[in-house]
Amino acid sequence: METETLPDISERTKEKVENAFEKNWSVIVWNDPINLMTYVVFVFMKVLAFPKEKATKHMLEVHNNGKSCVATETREKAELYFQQLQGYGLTVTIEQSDI
Amino acid sequence: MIARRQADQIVFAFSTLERKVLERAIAALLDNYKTRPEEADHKVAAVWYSARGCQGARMSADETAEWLKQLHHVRTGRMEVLESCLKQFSAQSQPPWALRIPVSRAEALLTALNDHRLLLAARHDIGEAQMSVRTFAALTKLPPDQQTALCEIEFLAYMVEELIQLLQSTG
Repeated sequence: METETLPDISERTKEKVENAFEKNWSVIVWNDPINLMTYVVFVFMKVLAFPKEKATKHMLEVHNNGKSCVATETREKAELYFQQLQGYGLTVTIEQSDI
Repeated sequence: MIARRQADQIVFAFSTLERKVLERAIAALLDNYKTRPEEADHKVAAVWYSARGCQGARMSADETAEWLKQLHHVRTGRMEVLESCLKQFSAQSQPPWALRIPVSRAEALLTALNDHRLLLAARHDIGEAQMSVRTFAALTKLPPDQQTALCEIEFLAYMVEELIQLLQSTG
């Protein structure tokens, strides 16, 4: 009787662990006409712990270019930012930047 | 409206019209916060419970449902400060109508007011063009419901900006 070998399983586990720690998830904030510029800066400072200058730079990027990548993180942390920013009423998506 | 920071509190004084606008906004917010995402009308769902980002995150249907449940939980957490505002108003008999909000709860109020701005815009199809209206003549060309909603959105924007400024001051 043939037996299954374990290496496949450990390979998959290894891949999962590696993926979990890989900082390849981008958090993208999209422009909308309702949220105030000052409010977006406030939220970036609060959620992402950005200093005011950096928060303003990203807010202007959202305003002028339609979107800004505010963080590139592990999936878990990107999801946390995603949820917090959405909870504040911003339009947010996350996407894997390097597949 | 006058707003100031007094130690660990933010103190507002409103005219009667401002009180009415704020009470109306708070009542609508409380109603909408009570409604679960799956029962919310599509305009509320689109602005407060958008699942657009969940697709990019490759979440399953169950994960998305859980996600929306958590977003709803975040929003219901803002109800306490709104109820306290209504209670304070109802205990007063004459203007100026005052509200005292602990600094620790002010952020919940600020975010709730912003939620209502988003909701009004969605409900009345207010977008970039309407938000860019700067003159009275241009305002009066809009349908009456959009005019009312825009005035409310602008009043709440004023409150949001005052709150941000007061929260960022040292007190």
